[in-house]
Amino acid sequence: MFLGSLFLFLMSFNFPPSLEPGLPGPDFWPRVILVCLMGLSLLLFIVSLKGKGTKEIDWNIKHLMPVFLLGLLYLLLINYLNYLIATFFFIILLLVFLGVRNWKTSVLFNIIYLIIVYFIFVRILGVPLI
Amino acid sequence: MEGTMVGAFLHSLVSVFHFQNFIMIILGVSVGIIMGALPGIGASTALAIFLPLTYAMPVGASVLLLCSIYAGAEYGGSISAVAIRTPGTGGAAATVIDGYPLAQKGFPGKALGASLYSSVVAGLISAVILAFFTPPLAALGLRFGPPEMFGMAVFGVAIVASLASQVPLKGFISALLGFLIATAGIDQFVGFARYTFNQPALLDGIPVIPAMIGLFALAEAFRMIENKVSSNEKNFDFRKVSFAMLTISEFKGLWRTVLRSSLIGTIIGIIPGVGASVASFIAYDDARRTSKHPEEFGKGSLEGIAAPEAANNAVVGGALIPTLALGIPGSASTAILMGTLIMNDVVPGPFFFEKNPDLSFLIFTGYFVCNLVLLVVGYFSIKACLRALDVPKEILATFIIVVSFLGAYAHGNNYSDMVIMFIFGILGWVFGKINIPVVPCIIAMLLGEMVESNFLSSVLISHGDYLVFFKRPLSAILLLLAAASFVYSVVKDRQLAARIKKIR
Repeated sequence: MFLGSLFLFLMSFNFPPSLEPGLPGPDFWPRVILVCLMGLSLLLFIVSLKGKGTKEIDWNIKHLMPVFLLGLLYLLLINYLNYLIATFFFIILLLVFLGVRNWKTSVLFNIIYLIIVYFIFVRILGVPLI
Repeated sequence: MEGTMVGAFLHSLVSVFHFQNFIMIILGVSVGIIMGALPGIGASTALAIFLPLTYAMPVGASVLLLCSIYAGAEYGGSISAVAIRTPGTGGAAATVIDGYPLAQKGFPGKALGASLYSSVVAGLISAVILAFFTPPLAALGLRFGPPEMFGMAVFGVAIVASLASQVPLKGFISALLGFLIATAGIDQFVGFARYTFNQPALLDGIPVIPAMIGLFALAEAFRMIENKVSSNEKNFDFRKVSFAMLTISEFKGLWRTVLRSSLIGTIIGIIPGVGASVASFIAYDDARRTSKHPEEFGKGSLEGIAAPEAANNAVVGGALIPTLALGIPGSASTAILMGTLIMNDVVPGPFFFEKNPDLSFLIFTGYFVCNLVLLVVGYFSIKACLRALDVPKEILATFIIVVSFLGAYAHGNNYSDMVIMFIFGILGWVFGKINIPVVPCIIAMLLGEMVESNFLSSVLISHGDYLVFFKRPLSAILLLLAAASFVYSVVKDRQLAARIKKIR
């Protein structure tokens, strides 16, 4: 909660004002929102200070960190490799990280998935995946 | 007028049974049931996962597919509720109370039968209400000028924000974030690139569809991975139970409950922000109070299954009414539907019926037919769906993650959409962690551009008078109501906090 409001706060100060004279310019609407947002995050901050009973948020990131990193890696790799190849490795690594050690399962899953994707998206929908 | 209505209806009937459309309904219902049955995948996640399939389809088929998935998922949620005591969707939470005991007694067939029949009847009723109430509401909307549209949208978002979570303040913060996100990109009046941080990909604004896939599908997969240890409920032994279906005479005893619950569900569906789960609990409560056998509730009463299941399927039709007639989606699922329509250059709202008479009738008839299909598919797929519950969470989560990336890419064949989807996936997960509801944010994102342009044009047509909104009665009332919902919900929230403090 603290984190969220603090983040919003910093973010709203960071925005450069847009330049446009005349009637309500392009900067008007975002400003209205930002003022409200700042007000609300302040209010939330006060409420949470008063409430005291804020529970520590259990981020439990240990489980998910590898998944986030894998996702990033996948996004990087997909630029260099073909979609099908990158996805093949992504699925296998993801399954290994999630505790599926059975090679047959992951390869089977992979092959079925990729074949379906190939036919539906590449052949029928014409998405240039390769 | 009457003649053209009947003509349009007949025309839509023909096109519903057009090969492609009908296949989409069958596919959507089947997929929806299975997705709904899997715990952790609600209607909105199912819609987000299957959204990419619609990219290359004509708009009618895409909407039918998504509506069918939505309806199928609302029924499917009851399967896992009955079998493993874990509601597959939020709307099935109340079904657990009576569905699980009845299945434990050895009658999962009867429990699911009651759920299926009630779902179908409720779906049909809400389809009829949808067809009759949407056009007049849209006609009313046609008289709205920019100030009224602005007021309406702000009101809708405010209601969603105040009802979407336990802490309304966070709902409003979420909505404001959504509006803020919607301001990114080239602005509509002078073409100034706002908040693009020099990223050419953001010039068009943040694409809503990849954002929705991230928030609803990817974030859900993250949560699934995180909690994979938590659900250990065993699927039951298939050999030991009876799959005897509900008989017609048993269902006759449920008519009254189903009718009442369908009406409750439809009405609640119309109100933005109050979704299937609230509707099903209200219907359950209502059924218990009006039942002749209230003592059976909680021990496997058929009425106790029929009521919430009728309500959660009736919500679908109800929720479509404001989405189509006013362009104000009240829930995550309708937001995704609306996103799909917009992607196809069809703008839901008051002009929707004038501009797309064929499509609107296709939706009404298609939604009616999809409930009939639900009856048939649901009837024959009970066993298969029960087996689907044995799919390991790891595989399911992997599947969702991979499909999310694919869906984001296929949206515009853009690498940047994948990155945006990934960011929103993490954002959705973080939102969940700090208890900020996602739905107000996504609805505000969808409506953001419309709200801003109506705001600006209102000020422009009144020659710079910022008070124009309060000089037109309807927009004034709507805005005051929006403000009231904010004040009321936040004050109520603080009272609640004070009470909790006292107890401690």
